[in-house]
Amino acid sequence: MLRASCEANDIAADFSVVVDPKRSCDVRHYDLLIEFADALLARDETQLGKAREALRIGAGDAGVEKAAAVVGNFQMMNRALDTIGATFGKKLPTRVRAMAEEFGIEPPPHWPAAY
Amino acid sequence: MHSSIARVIAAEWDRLGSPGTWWTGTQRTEIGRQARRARDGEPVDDSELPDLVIEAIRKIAVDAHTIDQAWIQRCHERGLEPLPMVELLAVIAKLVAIDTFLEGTGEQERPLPESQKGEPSRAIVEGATINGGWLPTKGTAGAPVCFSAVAAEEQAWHELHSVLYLSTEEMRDLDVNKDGLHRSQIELLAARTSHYNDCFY
Repeated sequence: MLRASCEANDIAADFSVVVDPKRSCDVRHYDLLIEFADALLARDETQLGKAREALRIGAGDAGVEKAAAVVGNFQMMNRALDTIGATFGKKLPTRVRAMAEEFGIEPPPHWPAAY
Repeated sequence: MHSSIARVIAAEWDRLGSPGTWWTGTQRTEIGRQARRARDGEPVDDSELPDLVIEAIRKIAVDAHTIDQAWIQRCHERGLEPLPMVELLAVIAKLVAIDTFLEGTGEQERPLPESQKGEPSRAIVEGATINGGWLPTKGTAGAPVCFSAVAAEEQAWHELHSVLYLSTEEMRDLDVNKDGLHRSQIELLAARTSHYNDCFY
C-alpha cells in the first residue's frame, strides 16, 4: 500500500527506507515518522519522548496521535496475520516476491510463489 | 484524544472484561494481564489459565512472527481448540494495539477492567472454516477476515481498525488525509511497524 499511495500521488519513494532508515524518501516527515515508530516499538521511553516531540513539531498533535494509532493498529494486524497464517491469495504475487527479494525479506514458507 | 478513538477504546474495555464467545470475562481479563506481563518481559506468575494457554498468550504477544502451522496444530492437539484460539488472539492483538497507542501518545497504561460474571455465548459462525490459513476464517485467510470466526471479535476489530487506521471507504482513497497524516505517511508507518515485527504481510 505504501508503493500504491506513493505512485498514485507522484511521490518519489525509495521503499528500501522501510528496511534501512539511513536511506531517504519523499514521504513528508519520513525520518520523524520512522524514528517515532522505532522508539515506540522498542518501548524506549527516553527515545520516544524525543521522537514524539520532534514529530509534534513537524506534524502537530494530530499527527502524533495518528502515528501512534497506526503503529498500534499494525501491532494488532501483524499478530493477527502471523497467527492465522494469512496468504492473501493462493500464490504469492510475482511483484510482491520481487520486492521481498529486493529487500532481503523471506516470504512465509507456506505461501508458494506464482512462478 | 480524538473522540472516536476514546469511544472505541471505552467499548473495547467493556468487552475485555465481559464474557466473550469462548472465554469468561475473568479469563479474558487474565489473558490480557498475562499478555502485558509477556510484553513487559516479566515471568509467568500464578494464573488460573492452563499452562498451554499461557504459552500461547506469550507466543502471540511477543513472538507472533515465529508461529507456524505445526505450532498451531500442536496447540489444537493439546486442547486449545481453533475457535477459542481465535478469540484468544483477538483479545491479545486488540490490547496490544490500544496499549501501543496510549504509550505513543504519552498517556498512562489503562488498568485492566473488572471482570463481569456470565458464561461465554459459544456462538458459532456459519461458514467459518480453514480457508488458506491455519485458523478458521470466513473467506480466504487475510486481513479483513482475521477474526471472522468469532462474530463479536470481528465486529470489535472493525471498530478499532477503522479509528486507528482507516475505514473501509477511506482505504480505497490513496490520497486521503486522516487526522493529520497523508496516506503515504500512514503506509510508511504500517510498513515500518511490520518490518520491526518481522511480519511479511
